[in-house]
Amino acid sequence: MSWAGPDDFYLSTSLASYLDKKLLVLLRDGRKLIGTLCSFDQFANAVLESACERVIVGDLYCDIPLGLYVIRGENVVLIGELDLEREELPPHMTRVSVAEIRRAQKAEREATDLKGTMRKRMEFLDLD
Amino acid sequence: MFCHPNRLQRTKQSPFSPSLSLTSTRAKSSYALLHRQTKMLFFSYFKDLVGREVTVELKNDLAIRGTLHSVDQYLNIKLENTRVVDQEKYPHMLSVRNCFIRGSVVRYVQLPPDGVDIDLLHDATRREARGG
Repeated sequence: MSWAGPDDFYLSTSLASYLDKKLLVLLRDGRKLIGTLCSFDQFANAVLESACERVIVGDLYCDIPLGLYVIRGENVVLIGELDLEREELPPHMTRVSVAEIRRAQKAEREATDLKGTMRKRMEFLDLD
Repeated sequence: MFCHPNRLQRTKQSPFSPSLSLTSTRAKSSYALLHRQTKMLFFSYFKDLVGREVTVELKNDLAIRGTLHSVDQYLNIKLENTRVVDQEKYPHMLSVRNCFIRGSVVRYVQLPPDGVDIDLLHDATRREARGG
């Protein structure tokens, strides 16, 4: 990340403009963290305050509170500024409890595994 | 966690090199470009594209369209007025209008066809290959 000099104000890719803003951080493992940016450094390491993980399964979602989080920069995919005037999620999505979203995650995982095993069993047929 | 990168860069430079700030717009001068041409070609190229509409495709298959706001030496990208290409697949991105993308996760940057001066790019590449 470049350090903004007086000439570079408009060219800087610094995260300084995101300080104290509510952000969405996408991680390499697919997790979505939401929180307020406290600090950052040149590696895109970040400290999020009042962080929560937004788990989305189909049309269900749940925000799991995490507290103060330090994120190592190498895991960061994207840091997006959440526009407070807009809806964060489409209206058809429903908020559920942690237990229910965990059940939904488990069901989705099992469905993917089942698809995988079925595909493996069909491979010998050489249908392609 | 704050560390002034210029301090780090100066220690790597030889005593004979001019101590020009890499991030300064003065670096656009041809002397600075020629001297620091190694590893700087795409950075300079993207700096010229600031303000254009681009689509960034990430390694996790997410594609984001937006105006290029800024770029840095790691090719981290800041986009404004963003919208996701396949919005329905990524509902969490609905209210994101500006974002910072880490350079290491970019797969492609799709450019406007008139954003490329092919000859200039060829010349710069040849110069870098020869002089770098």
